[in-house]
Amino acid sequence: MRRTTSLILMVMVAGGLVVATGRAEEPIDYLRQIKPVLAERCFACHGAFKQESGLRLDTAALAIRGGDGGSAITPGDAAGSHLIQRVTASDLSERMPPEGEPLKSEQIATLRAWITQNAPAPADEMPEPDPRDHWAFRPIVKPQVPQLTNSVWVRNPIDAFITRKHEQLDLMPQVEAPREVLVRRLYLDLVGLPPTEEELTQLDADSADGWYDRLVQRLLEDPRHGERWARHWMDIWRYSDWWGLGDQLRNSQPHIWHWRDWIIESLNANTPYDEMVQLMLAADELYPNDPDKLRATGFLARNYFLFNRNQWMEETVEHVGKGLLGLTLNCAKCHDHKYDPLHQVDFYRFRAFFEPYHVRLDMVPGETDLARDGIARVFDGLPDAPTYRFDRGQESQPDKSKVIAPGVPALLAFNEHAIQPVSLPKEAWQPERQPWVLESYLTATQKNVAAAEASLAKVREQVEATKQQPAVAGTSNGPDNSSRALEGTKADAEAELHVAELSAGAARAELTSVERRAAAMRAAWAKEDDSTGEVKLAEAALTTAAEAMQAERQAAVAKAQHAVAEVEWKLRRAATDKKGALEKELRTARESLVKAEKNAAATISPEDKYTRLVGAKWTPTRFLSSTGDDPQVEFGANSTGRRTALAEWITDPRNPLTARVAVNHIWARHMGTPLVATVFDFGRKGSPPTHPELLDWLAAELIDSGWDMKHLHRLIVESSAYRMSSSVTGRDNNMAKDPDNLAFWRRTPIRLESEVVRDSILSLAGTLETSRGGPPVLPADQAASTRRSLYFFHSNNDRNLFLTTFDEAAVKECYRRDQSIVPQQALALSNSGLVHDAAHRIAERLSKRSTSVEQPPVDELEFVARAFYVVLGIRANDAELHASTKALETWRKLSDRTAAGSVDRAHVNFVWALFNHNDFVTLR
Amino acid sequence: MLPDASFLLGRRAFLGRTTGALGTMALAHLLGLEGGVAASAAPTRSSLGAVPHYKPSADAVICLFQHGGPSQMDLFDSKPELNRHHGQPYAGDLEVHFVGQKGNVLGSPFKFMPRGQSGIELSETLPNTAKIVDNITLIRSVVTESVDHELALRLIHGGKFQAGYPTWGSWVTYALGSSNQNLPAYVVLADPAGFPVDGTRNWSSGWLPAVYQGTAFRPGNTGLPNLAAPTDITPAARSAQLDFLKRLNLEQMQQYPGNTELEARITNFEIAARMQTAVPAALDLSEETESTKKLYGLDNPTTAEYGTRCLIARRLVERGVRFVQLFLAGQPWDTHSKNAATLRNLCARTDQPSAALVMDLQQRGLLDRTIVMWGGEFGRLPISQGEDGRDHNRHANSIWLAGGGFKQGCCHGSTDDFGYQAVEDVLTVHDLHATLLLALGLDHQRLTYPHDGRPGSLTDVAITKAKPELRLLQ
Repeated sequence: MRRTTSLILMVMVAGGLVVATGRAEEPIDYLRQIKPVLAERCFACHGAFKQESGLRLDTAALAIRGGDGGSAITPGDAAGSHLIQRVTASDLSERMPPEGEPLKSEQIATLRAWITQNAPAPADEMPEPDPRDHWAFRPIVKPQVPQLTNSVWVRNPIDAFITRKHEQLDLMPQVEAPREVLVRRLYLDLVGLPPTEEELTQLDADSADGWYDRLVQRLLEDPRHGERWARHWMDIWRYSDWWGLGDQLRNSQPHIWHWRDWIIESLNANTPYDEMVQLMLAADELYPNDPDKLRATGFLARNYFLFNRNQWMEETVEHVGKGLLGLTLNCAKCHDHKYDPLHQVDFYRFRAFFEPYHVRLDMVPGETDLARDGIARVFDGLPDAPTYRFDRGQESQPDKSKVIAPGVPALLAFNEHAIQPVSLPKEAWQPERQPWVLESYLTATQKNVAAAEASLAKVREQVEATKQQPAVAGTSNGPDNSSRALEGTKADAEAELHVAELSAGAARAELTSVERRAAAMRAAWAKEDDSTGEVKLAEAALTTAAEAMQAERQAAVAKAQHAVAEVEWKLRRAATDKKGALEKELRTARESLVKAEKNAAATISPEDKYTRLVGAKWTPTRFLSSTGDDPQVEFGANSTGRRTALAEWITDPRNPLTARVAVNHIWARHMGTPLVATVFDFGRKGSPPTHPELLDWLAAELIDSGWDMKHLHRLIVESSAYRMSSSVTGRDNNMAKDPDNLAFWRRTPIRLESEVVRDSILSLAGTLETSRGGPPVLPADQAASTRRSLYFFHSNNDRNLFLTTFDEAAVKECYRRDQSIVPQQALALSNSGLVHDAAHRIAERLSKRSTSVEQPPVDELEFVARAFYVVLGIRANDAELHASTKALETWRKLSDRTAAGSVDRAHVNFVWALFNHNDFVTLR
Repeated sequence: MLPDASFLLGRRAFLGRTTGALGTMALAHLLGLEGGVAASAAPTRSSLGAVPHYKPSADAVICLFQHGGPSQMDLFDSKPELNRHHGQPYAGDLEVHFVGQKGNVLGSPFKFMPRGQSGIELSETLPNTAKIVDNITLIRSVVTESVDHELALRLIHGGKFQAGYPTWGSWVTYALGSSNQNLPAYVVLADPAGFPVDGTRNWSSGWLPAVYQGTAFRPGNTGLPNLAAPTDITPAARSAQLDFLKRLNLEQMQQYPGNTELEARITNFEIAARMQTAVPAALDLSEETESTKKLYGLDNPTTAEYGTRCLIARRLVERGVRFVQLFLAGQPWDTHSKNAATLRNLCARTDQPSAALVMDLQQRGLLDRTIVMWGGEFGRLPISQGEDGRDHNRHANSIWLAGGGFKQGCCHGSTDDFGYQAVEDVLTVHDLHATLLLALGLDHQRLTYPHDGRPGSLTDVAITKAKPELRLLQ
């Protein structure tokens, strides 16, 4: 009955027949005073998104209709309204909203007054839309390409979508940029470097139709393209070299540059985007025996954090969500997502995909020292580690009543992706079986033997020479002392020889030990891999194991003997005050030798084991105590298959987010502005796309092309939209209507990224080193290095100052770079040695035809024009040419030619100014 | 070298653009072009409203941060019970970080005595802090939420455990900008021996625009990289270069009108030129008197390095720098072993310069407007770790504040008899942040910036329940 009454009242309200039962107060404006409060504090649980207790409050009618507990609002009866009772409840378990501060007393008073005034609301009030209908969660359907009349401008479907928006807004697209601007644009965009003079000369010769497309093709096939675009993806995928405290590794992994090289190579090979994502998430399950592909899992290895598993997992969930899906799963860590249809448990279900993984370093052929090289990769080391939901996201409050199984948010689950455990090949979990591992050990120990033998031969030679030496007469010690000194020298030489002999002996014994152990391991594998139960194999395994143990013990003895001899040798030559410490050392060394000898003499018992040669090492964690490593995480024969399932879901063409997010990133870097401004948040709190159909068309095209990124690059850069001038001249109407160029009626100028600024300077100077890949350039070597900037060591703690000045990527997250304009940039371009040196070199090169400094060269104007063309990629206009020649005159009058050597100082000053020109750091 | 008036368009044109012009707006703000209050013109700052929100009692901060967790019961918080029970098992539960190295009650080897007019007790290791005790507010009841260094550091600097959040220095700079056009607004004076634990994150701007991050001055007399022009360019030639550059840029402006980035870049060259003299001038101590240098201990090898940085901090604040932060390399106060000896050495190094800074600021009339903060990320335990160390303790930490409207000769909060746990007037790190912001005229609830779809703030009051402690202020 109550409900009926309310509905009748509602009709009356809608009809404007407000029953004046309320107190004589100012009428409350529902839309202005009530709805915003309810929206902010109540809709999350009582709205379109969720209907706790069956109640919705997103329209007044729905509030009056109520939920499981009956009507929430009884018009005319504030005190009797559930809503008022709940927001004013003193019992905290009763009070609404359950989270955060209670409603303010004035808010409650307004609510009361509104209800008392019979809760008036507009008749046409619409409920909030269903969040599942949000554009980004709907399937990608390839839209029809608009058919338009302006077919001259429209080069491809991108232009058709752009033009339709122009037509809607009555905008006139800007004219095409001059050829030299397009050339520089393509070079910097596609390979990250300006064209060299030779390339410019070649291009000048090719003005036949189709030059543009030919250039695009050439640049996309240029291996420098991979370097340029790898840096973009490294931003999004959070590349970071390792960092910690001093030598202690705390974050990311050593040698993670292998992952960087994999990105570069994959982009150059045009590896499909979906495949790249799959490999980064699960190459260890998909290609467990392929070290090249395993490099991709650096994406996950990068999240390693020595001290805290929870932080590691949180970062993983957050950035897989933001980077690959445009989903802020991190906002559902403590409570249900406030905007998107994600429940708190979804955060933990997502985390469960990653719960088993740990990180290890795999040996690369030819290097047994993992401190020097190795591939950082992931493996499922803890297949049974449970995931719990944390109450309010607090690590200290896990809800252990229920283990959370891996799964994707229900909203986005388009089919059941069964998780299939993966049985790994033996080489994956017994990495020492990789064919190169034992070979590497043998080669390394053989090298040690050769080195020890060589130094022994050298010492022997010296000793022979000493023996031949006659007594030296006339020293200050006198003849007697001199012969005694010679005796001493000879004894020293003998002792040194003894040390060298033992050193070589130890190296040889170590070689034998490695050989025997390798043989024992091979025999053990033969036995293990034999299904027939061949007795001989079992016997061989036993025999070789015993030999290995013996050899290892002998090697220990030889090593200890060498150690003793070495301390004795040091003691012989030590100053008196150092002898005490060395004597202590000698005692320890001798004790070790006795122990080793005893061990070697003992019989081998069945429990004894030789030290196996390893092919990989788990990267230890310190979750339990910051002073000691956690118990060893073993390499298992099986992997859970969870990450493969996740990767399949993410890269399934039916996933509505993946392709949209990827094309948005690609578009933003070509065009300067993304289609969806919140590149990491495609949820309801994010920005809507400026061109929804274009975004969907591009996403569908990416998928249809087999996730072919070069295809997408080509489409974008060959469009008319890409080729426009960045000038606003003649487009006053456009400027008035769309000053921020959201409709892409002109080219948006892009501030060059820090790496491109530095690389361009080096390239123009002709000093850029073109070698690709390999370990990063360490901070101490960076000042002198001329390698491309993406090869610089880059971590939270170590960043290159020049690059930092121009807003390089933050390692924590960098979905879009900041673009600051700070005075330090002006200082870097005015005063750094980098620019200074480059200005010299370029001035020298461009003024080659003019040799005399005293006589201004006849082709001064040509020098100026060439410098503009080479350094800035523009043709100088008359005003610029005039200003330039005047400036050159001024400098010449200053007769300031010191230290410039053969170079025309005025020319150097001029080139310096071009480096500081706005266009140098701007991609027009 | 100053720009033509025609170079700078009106402020509205300068700031009125949104896309891609964030850097410009931020720059203008940092330059004081906005005067700190009219910032609402810029959409990204719209959430901030007019600042300061209240009448401030301070407009600058010098934070002398003490990495590692200074031992409060050996420095600031006298606990006779500790010495009475020395060597006995601790009765009751303790949260220890290094499980398995839990020892017995460890008394303090240092004598405490009342100091100054206020009679606040300090340890004998702080003879110079004793001289400024009547200027400081000593808080003995600061609590934090983690016993892990990195997490506790992020909490005290940025209010969150997570990496990637803005530090409070960034918030202050974001809110108040700079009052000196020629120096960065937020300067970090790092230890020449190296960065502290957690590196540059200690002064990161997180998700605030990058211009609000701390600028680390390098040791030595140049401070910033690329400050000096190459030696083979004469001033006349450089001047001609800048003139020429201006011509070229003007030409550009005609070709591409309405380019705010270009305008900002042009301004930058002017500022950069001024910085080239302003930064070395700020770092040049030659104009300081011998008695000032002596006050900071520059004549003593033990105190000279820290003293130099404290003195530079004063010179920076004097010139209008908003926020100065000093760090020590690594985490020296982390006394897991050799607690007493380490504290003695560190106090010998920092006590005199820290106190000198307060005295000097006061002499110059700067203390009234400048907050000096001294403290670390957490305290230490009343029991021993191993033979002679103390483990981390998040339940009690002592921090002192001077100047900027904070009470003088005041002691706030107290701990239990063993100094393990703050029991009276407990102050969370979030409360501390709210209080510091209040002194600077900022409402911690209104100082926000859009993050992850909601207004992000330093104190995140919905979760932390932070509130300013008014009793700390005069």
